[in-house]
Amino acid sequence: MALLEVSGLIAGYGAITAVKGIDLAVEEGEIVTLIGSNGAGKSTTLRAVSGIIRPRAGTVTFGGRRLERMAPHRIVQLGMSHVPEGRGIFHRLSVYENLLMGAYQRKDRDLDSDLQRVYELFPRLKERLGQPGGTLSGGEQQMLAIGRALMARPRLLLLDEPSMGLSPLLVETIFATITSIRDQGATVLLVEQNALMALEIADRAYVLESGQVTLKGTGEELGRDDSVRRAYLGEE
Amino acid sequence: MPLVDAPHLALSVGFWSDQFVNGLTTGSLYALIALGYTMVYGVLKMINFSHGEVFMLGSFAGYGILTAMGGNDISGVMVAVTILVALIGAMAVSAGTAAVVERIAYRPLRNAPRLAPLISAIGVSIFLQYLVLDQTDARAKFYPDIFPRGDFAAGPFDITYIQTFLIASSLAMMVFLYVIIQRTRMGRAIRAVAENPANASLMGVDVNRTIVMVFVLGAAMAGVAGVLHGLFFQTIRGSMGFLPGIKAFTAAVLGGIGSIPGAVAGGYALGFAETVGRELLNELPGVDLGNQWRDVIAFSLLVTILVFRPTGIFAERATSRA
Ligand SMILES: Nc1ncnc2c1ncn2[C@@H]1O[C@H](COP(=O)(O)OP(=O)(O)OP(=O)(O)O)[C@@H](O)[C@H]1O
Ligand SMILES: [Mg+2]
Repeated sequence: MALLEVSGLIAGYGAITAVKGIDLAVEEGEIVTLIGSNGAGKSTTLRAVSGIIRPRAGTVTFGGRRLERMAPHRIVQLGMSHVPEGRGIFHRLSVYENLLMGAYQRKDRDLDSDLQRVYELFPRLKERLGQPGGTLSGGEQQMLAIGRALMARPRLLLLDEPSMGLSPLLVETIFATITSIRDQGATVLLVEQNALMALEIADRAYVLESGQVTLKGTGEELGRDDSVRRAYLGEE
Repeated sequence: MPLVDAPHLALSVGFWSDQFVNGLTTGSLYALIALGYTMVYGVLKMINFSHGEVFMLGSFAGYGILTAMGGNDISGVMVAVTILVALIGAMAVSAGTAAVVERIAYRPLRNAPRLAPLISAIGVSIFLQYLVLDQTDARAKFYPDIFPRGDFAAGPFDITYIQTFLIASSLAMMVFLYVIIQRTRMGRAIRAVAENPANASLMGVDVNRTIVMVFVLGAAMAGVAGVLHGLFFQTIRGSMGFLPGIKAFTAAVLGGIGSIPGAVAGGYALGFAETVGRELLNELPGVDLGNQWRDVIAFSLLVTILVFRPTGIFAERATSRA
């Protein structure tokens, strides 16, 4: 059984049904990416998986446990970290406190090595530990969001557009980081607008359109697919 | 300042320092109670209008404990012991009440229109007040007169032992709360929930439990204020929560509701406005404001603030730049 299995998932907001019955699976150790145009339902899928919104139907299974009715903080305790769209930085907490919040649910209090790892990945954060999260630039907030998620030592990391608003150089860093997170044993479900790079690092990928999966395959296969190249990689 | 009668001012140092100490005393009580309003508002954006009754219940709990432990016969070291027990018991009763009220009267309404929890709070407030009025036959109770009498001079200030105790223990509670909020894991969770509950839950924070903790901490402060109020004024009654409650709310608004330092600053500002401020007004020719004018001053301040500066006079700029 896959680490994360989503089956027949339906989710939405009020009268809107944004996700209309999707199936997807993420195996332990994989990077799986979800691509699709604006409003396709990618973020909604992640929200339904991490418990921020309740699925209307379908099942979500993580490490053998059913999540559909579980409170989000319990899901975090099972080892899932969700970096939401818009980063979710606590503006009034300091950078350091934001990092500590990432480790909030951890039983062990031995955070030093994890903090060191975050500082190594993003030296910028180390210079700004005492300042309020809200005073960071957009890119710095994105680094903080990812660093904070790492502080949880998650089994499964859900990333919603981690490259949004970053300079090309930093985008490279972020994608390299995602790969190294996976190499260190975590599993990643990645939502991206930057389909080219996402497909490059992904083991497998799903294409979402209007709340449904229209294509799936390995990263490589979808990277070669004509319809994908036209729709998401900006080719004529 | 239009103080025509300046020589009189200069001559009565003792009078003004007394007013200053009185301001500190009432200000301490307002500040302690105001913390509960501001913290609940910080996480739920709701005015917890039953908070004054939580203060009243704390006062009665302290009264019950002091009476049960010997009342006026308590003496010697036992005075300190019983007062400590009364403070702890009052905190527990107030905190327990607030936790139950949150669970049954507020949580079910969390996603309802904003007027609903407000009305529910007023209902709880009336319920608790009449419950105690009924149990006491609407009669006043009197705190045992066990606190050592007397005063001492500190510079120009003449300060009684009970005032010293009241001010010192209030400040101690505020420092205690500050440390919890700023320095502990639970405090970080509270601040995270106040800023964004959904994001806090993504960090693994149990939002419901954190909200209960906010009620419990605020109520514990009010419980201490209840006992201190009883020890200082001695008379307590079922309706005693209303006025201090609404004034502490005024203090919280004054300081910028949602802000913890603001509630403390607002509490003392209001305490001084009612005491020193009233006497300063009395220095104006032809003005003679009796003691009841304290309330007029407090509520004039509330209305003025709400009209001209609803974010409070000490409101900190939001640190966010988003
Ligand atoms: N909080 C909300 N309330 C109401 N409708 C929403 C909400 N969030 C999203 N939607 C709607 O649900 C649909 C799917 O949105 P979602 O955010 O999942 O898309 P997405 O694939 O992540 O898009 P993008 O790439 O632009 O982030 C959209 O039509 C959107 O308008
Ligand atoms: Mg999205």
